[in-house]
Amino acid sequence: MIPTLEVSPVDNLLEVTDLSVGYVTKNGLLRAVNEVSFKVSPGDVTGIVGESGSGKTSLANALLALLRPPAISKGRVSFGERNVLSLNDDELRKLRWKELSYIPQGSMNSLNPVMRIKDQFSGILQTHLDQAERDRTRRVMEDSLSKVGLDAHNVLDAYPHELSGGMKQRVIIAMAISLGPKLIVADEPTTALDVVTQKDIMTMLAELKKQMGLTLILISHDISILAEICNYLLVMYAGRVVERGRSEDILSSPKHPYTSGLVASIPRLTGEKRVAGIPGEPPDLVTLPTGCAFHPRCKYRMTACVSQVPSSVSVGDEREVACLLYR
Amino acid sequence: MDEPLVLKAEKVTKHFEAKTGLLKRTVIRAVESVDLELHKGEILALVGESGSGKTTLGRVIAGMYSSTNGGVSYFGTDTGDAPSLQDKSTKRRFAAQQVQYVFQDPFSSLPPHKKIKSSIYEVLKLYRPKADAKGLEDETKKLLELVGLTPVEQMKEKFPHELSGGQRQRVSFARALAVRPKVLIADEPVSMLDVSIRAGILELMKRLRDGEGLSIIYITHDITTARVISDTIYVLYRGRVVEKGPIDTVVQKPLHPYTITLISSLPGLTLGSGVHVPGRDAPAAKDRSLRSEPPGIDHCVFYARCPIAIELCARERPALRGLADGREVACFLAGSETT
Repeated sequence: MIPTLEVSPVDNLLEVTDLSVGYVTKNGLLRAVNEVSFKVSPGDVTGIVGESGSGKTSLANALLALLRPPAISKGRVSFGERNVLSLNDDELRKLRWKELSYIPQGSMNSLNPVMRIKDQFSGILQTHLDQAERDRTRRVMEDSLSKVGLDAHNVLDAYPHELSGGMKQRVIIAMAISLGPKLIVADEPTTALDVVTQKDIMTMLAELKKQMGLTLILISHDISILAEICNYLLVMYAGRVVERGRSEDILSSPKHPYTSGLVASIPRLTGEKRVAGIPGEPPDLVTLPTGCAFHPRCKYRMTACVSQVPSSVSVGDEREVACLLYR
Repeated sequence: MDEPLVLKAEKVTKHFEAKTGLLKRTVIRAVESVDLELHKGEILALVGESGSGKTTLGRVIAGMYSSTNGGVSYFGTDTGDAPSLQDKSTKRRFAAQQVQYVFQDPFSSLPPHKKIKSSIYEVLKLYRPKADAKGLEDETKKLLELVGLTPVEQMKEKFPHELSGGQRQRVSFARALAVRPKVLIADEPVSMLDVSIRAGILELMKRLRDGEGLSIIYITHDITTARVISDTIYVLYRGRVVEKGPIDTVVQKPLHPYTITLISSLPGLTLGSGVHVPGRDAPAAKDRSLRSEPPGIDHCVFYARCPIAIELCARERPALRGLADGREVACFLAGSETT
């Protein structure tokens, strides 16, 4: 199915076990990610959805071992047989771009403004290609750019400011796929783009996934965009996964009250002219509410929710929810 | 619309000059000859993608930019030659009392070193020179209450960095309302907020219209939130209005190929059923350049990207024309076969 993928003794491409991420602040420990576990099989498109401050980006950074002090992380991120969190810098350098690529949030602003695209792009390739393969650099760049629908002749000699937001995002995606990685993590890949460009980028990602057999983890606060191409969804709230399952199941019958709120906040073009939204604000991660972190905003709150942290329970095929309503 | 007009823009044009070389200058035609009418209590959505000129038009209307051509009248007073508005600062203040602007980015539009109460108090003081301190403090609290920043006693003592994006955007609304404007221009007020927080801000805009009788120009690239709160929609492309009319008429059955493109780009979930969108799966057009065409070439602004363009579109620019359902559309083909 996937030509670039070696036969691996484990089924899962990525397995995250009890991953926690905290930041040491002057007010105390900020718990951004709390005991998150999940698995990704080859060919999956997994969406991670949640509001700002739910820990999505910290989770992504931990998956790629990008965290630096004052951040601290605990747990295991198994990529094949390796634990990404215990690799040294040299091993990480070999892993990144080649096996594991990252498209950071606001990535159109992550290009170096004073370097031509070809110089930044070839820098990545030089690090990973052998001496003998270096003459392929130009061809690899042209191939990757054409895969994302850009004309290499116009783009390679350009500076970032000469390209539109959508084109810059394509350049970053071209870099991310250029070395045929097994997994790409994209953090809010379309958030700053307008709807037309947004659709183009999502369509392109879906197309690339099909062509190259990519495995993707997409992070967004907008569940309607993730629903377009993800087959699995993880819903995060205050650093915890509160619901997971196949995306069609989650969208058609959300179980966790927070997920229901997210699904209801999607404005629609037909039907009643109301956007539901979720009352209240996301919690402060330093002083988390006791019990279920969602209880101050939850309309189904029970007395137990204030004191008891709900653990994930299975509520069907590949479906888990962390809410006391489903005990 | 039976309500009286509060604002009328006539043939508003705004060009910018950009240096493109040592001596070379290029004219960027941000807004081209736009007519716009806003009535009391109306929420009007200006919709288009990045670079369509919606923000420039909003800023011309707010008096932040002067127009290259054409003008904006508020209640029949033209800002340009009202007799009492000799010097620039009185003119600015007059415009400000007519129109207030709420910016997209709630993270950078509030003074970071001021408590919420002082950033509102100062605006009040500027516009009510005769009121005493007690009266202004009461009004500050009333404004915070109005935009839903409760409990007021706690919220007014906070600094912007202690608030979430949604709360900060509410402060921006309170500051704008402190001037008691007739018109509010909200420029992408929710695009930087979480989807779940947007609903509250949209509700707030609706409440301000219903309760305070404000007229609102809602600038956005998101046609779905526009539908939820607006009465009228103007779709802009490359500085020109390509389609306008009652929002339900336009959204349920878009006729201009650009409006169709905008709607068909929405995620499937938001579309629902019953919306007639021809060519939802049509391939995306390649030419995305927003560079201005050289003067003298008169073709449809959407010509290069249009999937249904005919030979006439390359020679002539279609004018806005009214259809029986109350909308106006600038396309030779729209409404010819399907209505």
